[in-house]
Amino acid sequence: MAWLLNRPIRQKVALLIGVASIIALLLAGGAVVLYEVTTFRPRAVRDARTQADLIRANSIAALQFKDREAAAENLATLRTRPEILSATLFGPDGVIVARYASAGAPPAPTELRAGVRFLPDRLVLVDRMEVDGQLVGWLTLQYDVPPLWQRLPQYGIMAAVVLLALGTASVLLLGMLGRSVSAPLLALAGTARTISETGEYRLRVPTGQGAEIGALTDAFNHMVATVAAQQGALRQGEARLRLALEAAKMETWIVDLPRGGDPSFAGLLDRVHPDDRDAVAERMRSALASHAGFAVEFRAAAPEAEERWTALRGQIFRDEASDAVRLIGVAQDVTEQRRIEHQLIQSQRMEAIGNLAGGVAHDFNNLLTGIIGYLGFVKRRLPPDAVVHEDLAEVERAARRAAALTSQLLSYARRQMVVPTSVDLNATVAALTPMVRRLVGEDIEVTAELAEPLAPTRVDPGQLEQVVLNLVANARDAMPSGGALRLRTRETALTEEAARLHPEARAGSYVALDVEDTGVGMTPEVQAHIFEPFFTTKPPGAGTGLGLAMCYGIVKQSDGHIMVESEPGQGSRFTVLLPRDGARARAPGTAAAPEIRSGRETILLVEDDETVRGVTLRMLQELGYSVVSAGSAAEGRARAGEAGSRIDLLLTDVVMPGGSGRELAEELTVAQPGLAVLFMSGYTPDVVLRQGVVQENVAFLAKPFTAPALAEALRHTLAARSERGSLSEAKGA
Amino acid sequence: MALLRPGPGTLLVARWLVALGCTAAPVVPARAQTSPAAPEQAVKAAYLLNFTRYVDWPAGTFAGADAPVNLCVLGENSFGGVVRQSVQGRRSRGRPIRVLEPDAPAQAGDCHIAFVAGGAREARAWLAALRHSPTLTVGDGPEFLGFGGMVAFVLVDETLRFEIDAGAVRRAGLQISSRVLALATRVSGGPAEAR
Repeated sequence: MAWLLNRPIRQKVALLIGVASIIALLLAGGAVVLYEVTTFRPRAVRDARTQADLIRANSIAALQFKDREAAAENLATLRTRPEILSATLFGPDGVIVARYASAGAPPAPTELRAGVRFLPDRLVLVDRMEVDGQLVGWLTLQYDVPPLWQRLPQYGIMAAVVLLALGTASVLLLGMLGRSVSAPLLALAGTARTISETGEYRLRVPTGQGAEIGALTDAFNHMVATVAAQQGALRQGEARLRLALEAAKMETWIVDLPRGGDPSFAGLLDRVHPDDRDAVAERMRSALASHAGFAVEFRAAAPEAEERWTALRGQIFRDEASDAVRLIGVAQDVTEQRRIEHQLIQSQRMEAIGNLAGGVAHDFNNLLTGIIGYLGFVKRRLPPDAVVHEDLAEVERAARRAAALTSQLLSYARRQMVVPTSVDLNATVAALTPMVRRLVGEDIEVTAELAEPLAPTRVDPGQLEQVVLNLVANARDAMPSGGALRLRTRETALTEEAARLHPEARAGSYVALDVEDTGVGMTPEVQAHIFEPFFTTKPPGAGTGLGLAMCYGIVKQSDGHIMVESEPGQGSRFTVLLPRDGARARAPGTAAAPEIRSGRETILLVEDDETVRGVTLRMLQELGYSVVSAGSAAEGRARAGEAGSRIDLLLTDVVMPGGSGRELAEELTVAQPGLAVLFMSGYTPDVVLRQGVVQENVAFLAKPFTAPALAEALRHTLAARSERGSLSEAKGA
Repeated sequence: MALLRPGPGTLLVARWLVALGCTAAPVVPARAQTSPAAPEQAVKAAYLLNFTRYVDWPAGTFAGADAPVNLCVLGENSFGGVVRQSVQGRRSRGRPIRVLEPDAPAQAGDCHIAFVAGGAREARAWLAALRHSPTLTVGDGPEFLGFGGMVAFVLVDETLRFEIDAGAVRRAGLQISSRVLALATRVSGGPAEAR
């Protein structure tokens, strides 16, 4: 059966036709036998009887009159009937009267018993002849009935005709079959092969036939179209995936594991830096053991000097027996990420240090406020010629140095009170250049390159000066045996790409100040810590370690950015990026000489620190003001209620337990719109600042402050209130 | 049996009997036995009976379907017994056979077939009496036809044969079968001159 199934259709059909032909021939043979039995033999008997009747009619008279000659003559006429082999007439006594035999005829039967017998090759008929019941004689007739096998050739001709017809029909049928079945099927197979070899999915099998072949062709074409569509979708998906991987700087990898045995990961480890190989292999083995996915980062074994980091993430594929058969995953160059992460950690650390420094400075400022304030009261109480004045001056100097240090800490912590204004950087640098020359000394050549025109920037002018001077001092210290210092201003833009490398920086247009030296330079390790407070490469006592930290804090507070480029022995370049200001720059103003002015107004003083409250209260009283004092926001609220509209100015600390000075100021201002407000604080937290800068209509006094500074701030604030008041009156009129 | 050939001087009938005795085939009934004393007469008697089977009489000759055929033996009476014995129990085309032996020609009117024995004169007398009767007349010798008879027994090669005057037969209103005419050694007086 299998053999038949593997034959070509043509052979199958030929075989079927052959089988059908054999069956047809067998049926024909059966029909012949049936014909023989039902038709041929009875007809032979009928024919023989008819002959016998004729002979009887012609010969009976001769028998009756015993005329042998006449009988013989009668029988002789049978020569014209070849089917009659012999005929014999007997008398009633069984004696032969007349006889006819054809050539080669078998002997006549001797047994006279009426009836018909079939012998293999003939029919024997014995007829009893009677007339009026009287036996007249016997007739025996041998009738030629050729045996079936002798007649078969006749049937054979029929069979041959049938076979010829069948053969012709078969050839025609097979030819048609070839055209209508085999050829389309072979075309189909050929197209399928071409498509699978060339991948040309646009090929189609010509249609046009109906029925099964047509359905097959249509189904095939439809299948090809579907496969083509799926292939297209697959390619698109692959391309998309490849693009995504490229965009993510990822590549895929597969490691087939040896069946059993310890995997060496050789192909994978070749890409790992030799120092990291053991760790990576160990990590992957533990992943195999723990049935988990894995992620590992390592340095790539790259020929470049630059260190490249690769992150490998993967999963383990297991077979049915839960044996690991392959590792598959993605590899990604994470050098950039690592650098950015590193910088982020750096800036977070500096933020933390800044918070710490800010907290310390706040407390220091309160203490220094007390020290300096009471020192002032002591000096005024002493007679001018008292010998302790010299000592007190030393105390005051030390206190002021402490205050300066605290101020620098606050600058780094970005909590210095700043008043950003539009500043022309060129003007600032030009104004500072003489001082810079004095600062660096004779051995260092100072040049300034100022780009013209230069957009204004927005920064606190005093702080900007501090930044320039600190950077210059730093450059000087890097060139102990002389060199060149260059100050340069320019406009620049920070692209998104560049900004990405510095997590704290924002892309945009900036005004830049470069401070370049030809000094000793710095290693990357030193660069990483250069802006941290108290970090210094100078010998103990030579520097506070706060200079660059302060610069960092100021620039950051001004929404700028500071960067350093340096190599050991190649000098350094610090770049300060400051935001461009749309407003017109103001020329650096000249500070008016402080002038102590007293007043008569009523002031509500709210300060939680007892020392500061005490010293401030006394300052205010000595200045002539009426003072209502409170130790907290709640108490201040109560006192304000008691005092009613007598209060002209609220002088309040900003950060207090139980309620901020800002909230208190807002409440009281609502109740008494004409109320002037002066904040005092050791630093400027966000409750005071809006978007990092002090608003211009908010007065602020930095701790520690002296009595003259307080007096000036008070007068300024009260005067501003009067201006607003008269303005509103004018409006009202 | 085929080896047996008729020899000279022997009647066919006699040889048949010899053959019968020699072979003694039991399947053949012994009906054909006749008196050994007159074998030729027995043959003639059988022929007479056979003639009745090949002759058609005019319509109305017989009273009915079962009416007997009258077989007359005229003249010499010795033959009558042989005939009676020969036709005993026989039938001709379904009719019984009645053997009559009239004494005078006047009494012979009922004869359907008549064997006329005796000499020429006697034969003529009988024939004259039967001239207007539908009677097939049979006699011995060729001269019998000359007397006006219809069928005459003759011996040819010692075998009993017969001649027929077809004209006489026809004139008597009889019809004799062509099969019998074909067996006759000579047929005269008719258009069908056989042999």
